[in-house]
Amino acid sequence: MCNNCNNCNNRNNCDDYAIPFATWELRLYLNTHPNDTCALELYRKFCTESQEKNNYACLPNNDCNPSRWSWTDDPWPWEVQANRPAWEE
Amino acid sequence: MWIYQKQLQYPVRITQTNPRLAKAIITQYGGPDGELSASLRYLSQRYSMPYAEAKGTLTDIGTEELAHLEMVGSIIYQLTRDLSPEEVVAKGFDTYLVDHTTGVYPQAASGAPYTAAYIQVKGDPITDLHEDMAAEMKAKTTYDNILRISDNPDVNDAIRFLRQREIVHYQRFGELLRLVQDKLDSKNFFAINPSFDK
Repeated sequence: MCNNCNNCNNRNNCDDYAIPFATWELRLYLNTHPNDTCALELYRKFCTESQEKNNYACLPNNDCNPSRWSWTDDPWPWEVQANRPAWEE
Repeated sequence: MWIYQKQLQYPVRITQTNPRLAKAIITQYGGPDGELSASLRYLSQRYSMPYAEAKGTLTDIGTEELAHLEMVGSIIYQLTRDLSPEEVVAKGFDTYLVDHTTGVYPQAASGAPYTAAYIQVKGDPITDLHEDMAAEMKAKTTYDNILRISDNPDVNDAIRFLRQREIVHYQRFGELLRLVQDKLDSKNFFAINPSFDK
């Protein structure tokens, strides 16, 4: 799976819908497979390439941990820890 | 919070109008197994989920269902453009038009307005995930039914995409369910609610 898109000759024909969608699919998959480095690598590759196109699937500051997916880490917005100001930690 | 990207997840380009078909498809906008139900259900269930993977997946899939809601609304809008009064009456669209003109209103195909009674947020992760898997299957079946009654290729193209996404979401919820079950104490398999009991 990792090499499919690397070897694809059709990249220039991937229009504005295909790449954002593929990125989103990877993101959903990574939520339940956070340690799949192959998928993570492909996700980051798509995000770097489509940065300028405002790709809805790409999260900012997602490069912190290179070996796993960290979007699902706690805390979440509705939890108290997420709403304390930084200086209060 | 949400950021809005001004583009549909998958394009909707319908050339041939069909108000009768619109009255059926509107059930995926405001009906029991439609996209509004799905998004509200998942975005509401996520608060009582105890595990990060569940919070993330419910947030993401709930968000994607909002994008699908937008697609279904677009289909309804495009199917009901430029209608003549004769066409409205002939296609059985008059009963909708008197109340909503050609606006897009969240109702089922029967005309019943949307209600939260279509969803449940039981607050128990295993219970909720079972409901979510059922919800995805119900949505898929509804799309199957739409494909049975529609001969409009532009409509069917968008509907097939939406139907495929239901199958994928079913897969993701299945993985989540297995993940949550693995994390539970095997002695208290049905008694424990990890969101509530400690």
